[in-house]
Amino acid sequence: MKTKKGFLLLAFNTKELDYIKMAACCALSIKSHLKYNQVTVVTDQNSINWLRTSTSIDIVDKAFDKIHIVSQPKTTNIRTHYDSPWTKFKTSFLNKNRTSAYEISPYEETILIDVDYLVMSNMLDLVWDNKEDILINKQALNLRNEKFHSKTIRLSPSGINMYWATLIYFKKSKIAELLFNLTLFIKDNYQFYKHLYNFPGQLYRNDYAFSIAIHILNGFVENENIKPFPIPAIKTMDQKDDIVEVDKDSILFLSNNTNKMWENILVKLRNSDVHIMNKRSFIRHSDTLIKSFL
Amino acid sequence: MDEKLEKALEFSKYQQTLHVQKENLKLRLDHLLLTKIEDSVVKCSMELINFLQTCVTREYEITYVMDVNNNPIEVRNIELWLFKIIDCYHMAHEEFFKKSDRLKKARNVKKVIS
Repeated sequence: MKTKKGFLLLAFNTKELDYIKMAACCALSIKSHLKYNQVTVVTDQNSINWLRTSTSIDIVDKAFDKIHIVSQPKTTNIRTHYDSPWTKFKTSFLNKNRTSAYEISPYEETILIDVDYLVMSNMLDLVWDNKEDILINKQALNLRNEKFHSKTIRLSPSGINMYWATLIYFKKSKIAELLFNLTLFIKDNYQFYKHLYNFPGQLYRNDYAFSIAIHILNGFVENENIKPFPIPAIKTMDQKDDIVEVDKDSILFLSNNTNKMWENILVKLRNSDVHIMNKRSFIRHSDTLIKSFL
Repeated sequence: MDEKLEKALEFSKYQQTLHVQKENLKLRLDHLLLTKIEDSVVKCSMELINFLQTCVTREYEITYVMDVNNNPIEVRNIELWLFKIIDCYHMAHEEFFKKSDRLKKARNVKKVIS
C-alpha cells in the first residue's frame, strides 16, 4: 500500500556508535505508539548488513518499511561525546546528508527524525494533514524541565534563535524545498556562515544550518512564521545523564546536576517522547527497548 | 556527617525528585489537552468550552476559534466540537487527578518514581 505520510531516519554507523541499531529502536518506538507509522531509513549497505547480523532479519523487517541505500558520507566531522560526566570519547559524526532529506523522502508529508529520538506517546499523530508546510521546534527542556544549555537557545550570545533539527515536519511544497535547498547551500558554505553568524566550534551542526536558513527565509528577522510542533519543547536527556531502566512507555533516568557533577537525581519519564543524547547509554539499553516495543 | 543534616539532605533530594515528577505530570496534562478536530489541533480549555457552550446557547451556526499555532478556524458543527473538547478536557484532567493523587501519597524517592 502506498502511503503519503511517514517518518524518515538517517543512520550511518561509525566505529564507536551503532546508529542503525538506534534507528531500529526509534522505528519500533514509532510503530509501537503511533497510528501513522511508516518508516523509511536512509543508510549504507554495511550498516544495514551489520544490523541484520547483530539482531535479526525479522527485527529489520519489523522496524523499517523501506530501506534506502546510499553510500556512506565521506566527510569527517569529529564530535566529542560524553557517557555520564566521567567518560568522554570522540567519534566521527556522519550528519551531512540530512539536507538531502527533502529529495530522498518518498512521502508527501514527512517527519524527519533523529535516530536517538524515542517516541513514547501518540503526540506525533496530531501533526499530519497540517496547515503548515514546515514544523520545527526551537525549545528544548532537560530532564529536570529546565531550559536546555544556554548555548542551545541562540547560536551565540547575541545571535539568532537556534532551531532543533532533531524533529522536522515537512510537506512536499515550495517553501520546504526552498528551506532544504538553502540549508544545502549553507552546508556547502559553512565557514562563511560561521563567520557571518558568529557561532563557535568547528563541528558542522544541522541545527545551525537550519536555524540560519529559517532566519534568511523569515526575511533576516526573528518571527514566528515557521511554527513549532504541537508540543513546542523537545524533552532532551543530556549526554551526562544516564539511563537506569527502560520499558515500553517509560524510562528511568539518572539526571546529572551540571553544576555539581557528583550529584544526580532519579527522573522517570512516562508517555513522553525523549531525545536521548547519551548514545552509549542508549545502545546499552537498546536490546531491552527492542524487546519491549515488539 | 551530623544525623540531622543527613536527614535534611535526604529530604532535600526527595523534594527535588518530587518537584520534577510533578512538573512532568503538568507537561503530560498539557499534552493530553491537545486534540485534533477536523484537521485542526486545538488546546482544550475551560475558556474554549464556555465560549462554545455560549455559541450553542445563543444558537450561532458558525463560529471562529484559534488553533495551537494561532491560525483562525471556522467551526461549523459547534455542538460536535463542544462534545469532543469537553470529552478531551475531562479525560486529561481525570488522568492528571489520579496521578497527582498517587504522587501526593508517595513519601520516599522509590515511591515517587514507581
